[in-house]
Amino acid sequence: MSTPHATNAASPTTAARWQRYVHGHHWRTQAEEFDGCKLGFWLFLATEVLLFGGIFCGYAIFRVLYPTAWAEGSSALDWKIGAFNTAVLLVSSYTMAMSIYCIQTNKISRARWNLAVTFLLGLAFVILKLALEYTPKWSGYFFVLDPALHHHESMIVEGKTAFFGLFQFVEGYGGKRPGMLFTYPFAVDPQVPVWWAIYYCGTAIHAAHVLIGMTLIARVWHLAGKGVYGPTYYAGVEITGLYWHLVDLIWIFLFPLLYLIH
Amino acid sequence: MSGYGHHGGSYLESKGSFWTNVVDWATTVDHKKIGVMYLFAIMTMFFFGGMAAIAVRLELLEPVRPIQDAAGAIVGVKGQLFGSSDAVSLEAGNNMYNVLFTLHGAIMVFMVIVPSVPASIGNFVLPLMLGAKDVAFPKLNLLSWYIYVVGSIFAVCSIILGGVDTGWTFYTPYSSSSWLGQPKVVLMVLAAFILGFSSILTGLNFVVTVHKLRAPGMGWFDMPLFVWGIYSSAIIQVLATPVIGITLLLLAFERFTRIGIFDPALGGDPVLFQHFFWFYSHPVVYVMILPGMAIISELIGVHAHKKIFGYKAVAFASLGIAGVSFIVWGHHMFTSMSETASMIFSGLTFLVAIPTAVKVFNWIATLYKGSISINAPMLYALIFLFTFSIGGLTGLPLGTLSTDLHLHDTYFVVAHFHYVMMGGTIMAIIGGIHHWWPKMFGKTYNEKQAMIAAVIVFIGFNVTFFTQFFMGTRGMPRRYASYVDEMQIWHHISTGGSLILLVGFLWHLFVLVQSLVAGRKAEKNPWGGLTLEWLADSPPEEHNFPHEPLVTHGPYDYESAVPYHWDPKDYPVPAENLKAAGAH
Amino acid sequence: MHTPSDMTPLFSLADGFWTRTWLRHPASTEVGRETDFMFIWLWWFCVIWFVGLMILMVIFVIKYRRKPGTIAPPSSSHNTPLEIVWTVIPSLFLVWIFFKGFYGYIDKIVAPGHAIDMNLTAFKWGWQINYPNGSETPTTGRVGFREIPVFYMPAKTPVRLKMQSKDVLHAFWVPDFRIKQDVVPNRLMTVWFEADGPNEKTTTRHEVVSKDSPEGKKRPDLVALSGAAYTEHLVFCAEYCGTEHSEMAAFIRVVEPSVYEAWHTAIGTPSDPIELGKRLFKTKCASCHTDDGSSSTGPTWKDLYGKTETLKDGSQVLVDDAYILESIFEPGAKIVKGYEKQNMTSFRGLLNPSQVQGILEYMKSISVHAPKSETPTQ
Repeated sequence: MSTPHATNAASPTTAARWQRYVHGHHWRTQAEEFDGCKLGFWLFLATEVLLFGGIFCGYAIFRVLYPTAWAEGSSALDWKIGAFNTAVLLVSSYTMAMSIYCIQTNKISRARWNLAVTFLLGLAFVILKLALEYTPKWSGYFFVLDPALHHHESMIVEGKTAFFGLFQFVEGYGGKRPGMLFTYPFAVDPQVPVWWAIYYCGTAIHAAHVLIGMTLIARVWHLAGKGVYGPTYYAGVEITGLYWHLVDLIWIFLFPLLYLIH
Repeated sequence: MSGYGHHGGSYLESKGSFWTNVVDWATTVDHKKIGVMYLFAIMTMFFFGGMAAIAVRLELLEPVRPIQDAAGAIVGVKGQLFGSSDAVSLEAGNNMYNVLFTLHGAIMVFMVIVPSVPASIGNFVLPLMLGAKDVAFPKLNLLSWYIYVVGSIFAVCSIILGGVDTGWTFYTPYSSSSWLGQPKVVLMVLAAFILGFSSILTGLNFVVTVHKLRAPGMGWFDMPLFVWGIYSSAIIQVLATPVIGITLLLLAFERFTRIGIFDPALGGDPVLFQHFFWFYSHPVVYVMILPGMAIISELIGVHAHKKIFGYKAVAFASLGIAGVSFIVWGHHMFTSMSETASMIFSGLTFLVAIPTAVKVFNWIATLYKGSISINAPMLYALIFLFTFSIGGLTGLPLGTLSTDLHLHDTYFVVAHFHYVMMGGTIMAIIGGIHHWWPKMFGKTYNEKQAMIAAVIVFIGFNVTFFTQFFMGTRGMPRRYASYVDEMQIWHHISTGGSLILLVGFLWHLFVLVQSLVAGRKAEKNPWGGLTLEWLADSPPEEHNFPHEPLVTHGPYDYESAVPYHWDPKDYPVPAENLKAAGAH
Repeated sequence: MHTPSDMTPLFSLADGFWTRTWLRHPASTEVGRETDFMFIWLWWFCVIWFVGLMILMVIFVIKYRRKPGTIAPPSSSHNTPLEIVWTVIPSLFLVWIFFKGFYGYIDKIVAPGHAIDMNLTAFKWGWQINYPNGSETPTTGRVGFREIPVFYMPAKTPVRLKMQSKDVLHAFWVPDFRIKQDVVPNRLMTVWFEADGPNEKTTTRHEVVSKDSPEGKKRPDLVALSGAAYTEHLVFCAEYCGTEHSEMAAFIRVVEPSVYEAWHTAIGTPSDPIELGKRLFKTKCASCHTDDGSSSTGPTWKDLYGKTETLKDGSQVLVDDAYILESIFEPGAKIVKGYEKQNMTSFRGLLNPSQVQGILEYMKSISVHAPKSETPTQ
């Protein structure tokens, strides 16, 4: 039926798999199928943009509500790590684009090298994220890194645990977590934890997308090795590339918002 | 090569032994089978949601009140449904009510009405109407059915763990701070999140199908209006659903980590949650109603044998509603927003009324000088016009700021959205099921019995919900397990109506089951439709059509084309009108 | 200052059969009657459109029913002028409805400058109003089986409530005033009303309590209200707030301004601590606790003071002043076994020291375990 592996009796069995590709039975031509796939995937990318739109919207609103907390939170991040990560992703976007170009020009082995490099750069991004960003922020007993407390580590006391004991909270601000105050006006304390909520949600959901992108890249790397893709059939690589560029693009927005503007 | 030519058997044909058939259905990528599987899954959930509704109505016969003995000690609870009266505390009685209405809302919204028309009838009919062999991405289509099932299982798990009492809206901070030690709220939230994926994939599939797989000769304005409606709602599904995705993810994150986003106790903003939530959930109201309107356009056109009045106006009204739906979400929050925001959203809300009113006018104008046959589908189209008009018009006092301050969060709102959702979408889908039933299963149903059931449903529906308008304006807040005594008579009438409604639905079920078991073989084109699905066999063969169909007339050109498979003697189109009929 | 008798003719539409069917009776505030007018106007607007459309539908269905072997006569499927007309005319109506509704809304939202401010606190599950002199209402009423607080309000005087929530979302709704406002935690929400005075139709009279009777000595507020007429209105919570959402009600009783002034002065005077405690119990605690030994959401107060309770972790605690104080201000600290699932709201900031003392005295007075020497004689 719609399986791309159906062999066509008319094709010589010696031809590569991409030359023998048969489009889904419900499409009129292979070109239309490719167009349809691209249209569908652009729609999917639109849903991704809207998904992150929620994060950006939350960022904007809380930035307006708690400007001091935002300044305090973002100045606790190291822009150099963020910039390095940005560079890693930008290079990976280049190699991703190159791999599509190589497939289109039938240089399959170079395309696979490019895919491999893209995958490794993605891996580097995730490792950097874990090693330099998340781990240090969690190591001092606290999930919510509060710069005020960070400067006075003697104040850190063991607090309540959450999420199966993985994280611990710090009871700061005189025995109360900030935000627990119900008095009006409400903005009596810097709402720094809200900043960290947006930071962790934004970067973690982005990192999850990087991991999904890496899985897709590994898949097309594997399939390219079997000769599935070639100049006339490369929808899988194209779509993986679109996805990877979107993941990069979102980071391009996250980086200045989180690291550069205070 | 491309699938046409081998005249296959019906898609329902048995493939061999029982297990072969089970595997065949479970792994099918055929849009017709997936549509039928969706129909059964959705109807199952409709049954559970309906039972929850009946339980809610029965509870409200007697408000939750303690029964006291002579000494004043509490010996039981009134208005409590299941279990013995002595063991249940007042708190448990209230809690059970809260769980039941949440269950009813969540099931009906996320598992029944949102997927109902597009995923079941849409899946089955849309490719046939376009003359296509399948939807654009058949495997994705099957995947979305499995995602739907997984999401439903999550919801069932949360019910087994005690049920959720947050209301289907999951308003923070109640949803992010109650039952913290227990996973059931997160399970329900994740169920809604997962069901969102199913919705996105279906919507995406339909948009690409409509763009790329129309039969030769079918321009955009030769598409049946059903396709326009499904297309408009698919766009909303794709563009609005991700926002509820991120909202529910953030909510789950907040519950797990107790880090503030929406919970004011942690520095978050509950009104932000409401904005996020309704940014999805308002457009999704139109995901629910646009396909219902799409069905009605089809039913009225076919059963009146008349060109839809103002085809382009109806088509553009669908797109217009889809567009406006994204900018009116604030009207759910007039009591928690600033005056400026309320004013803007109130003004924008009235914009929705215009394309909706245009549609209703067009449908009624279509009846003018038609050739109207009254049968179950047409009866449902008329019921839809009746109930949906009430639903639409009662939207006016809710969109008007001064009256909304009184009516917000009362039974008036409950009645209003039931008139739109149930009087609109559910009536439309029942009409649609009867309309396409012969095509889906190749069997006729008992027309007279179905019409009797329709009348019972109509009566039950209005008795149940019209009383609720009065309750709301007279001062009955929604989601109340107890109420002041003067409301009891209204609740009694409403509960009585809901039981009539139950009888009507069971009657329908009986008629349809009887048709499956003992129905006669249906004709290919029982209603005399001009859209392409009536060209196919009943039930259609595996690849829909023996040859790729060519479209030579518009979907409602009843003045100039003889319906497929009909004898010109039965449908005497004057020769001077006749366009190249029989070109197929 | 308007009373129902001198309503402007404009609003006469809003006081007839349909008003009484839809809305029970005309609103008790002038801005509320503006809403009534709008609602009844919309009702007739909807009826005319709906009946018109349905008559057309039924006529068409009957007149143009199918005759076998014929087809529909040719007729236009498109008529631009008609379509423009039926788009533009409803649009013009909608513009008028929008503006009319918006002006009514502004009247309801913007309080007059001379309004009396009161602080309202919503909590799971009850309402508390702190009057301008800081006192709270000592009176409760019954709706169904539930004791709910009674708030006295002056007639013909604008009152503005500054509302805060202690925990989750609530909404303050007085159906008779046609006002509703969500109470969002961490925000100050306001609502205002200017109620009509008690009139012949709607009035009840308070019992006469003389200054020298035993009850009058204990409750000066009852003396202030003695024999005065009042109109009663229900207050509901309209935003879902958890298990006892439907029990979250209160009464507003509107009395003549002079009666209100006397009452307001009277509740400001300190009273017997046990009486104060009992009053606080009824208005704040009775939604979850009982004082007669029956079971409820929280432990009963009957014979609680001085008792030794087992906590959820198995340890024992003596219910004394310190434990009760902690339970009021930090309810989650030591939870008694069997009540693990409950989630009491902290009353920090809601009770002043003398009120806490009153609660302690009241608990002692209804407990057999309390040391007798400390129980003041009644």
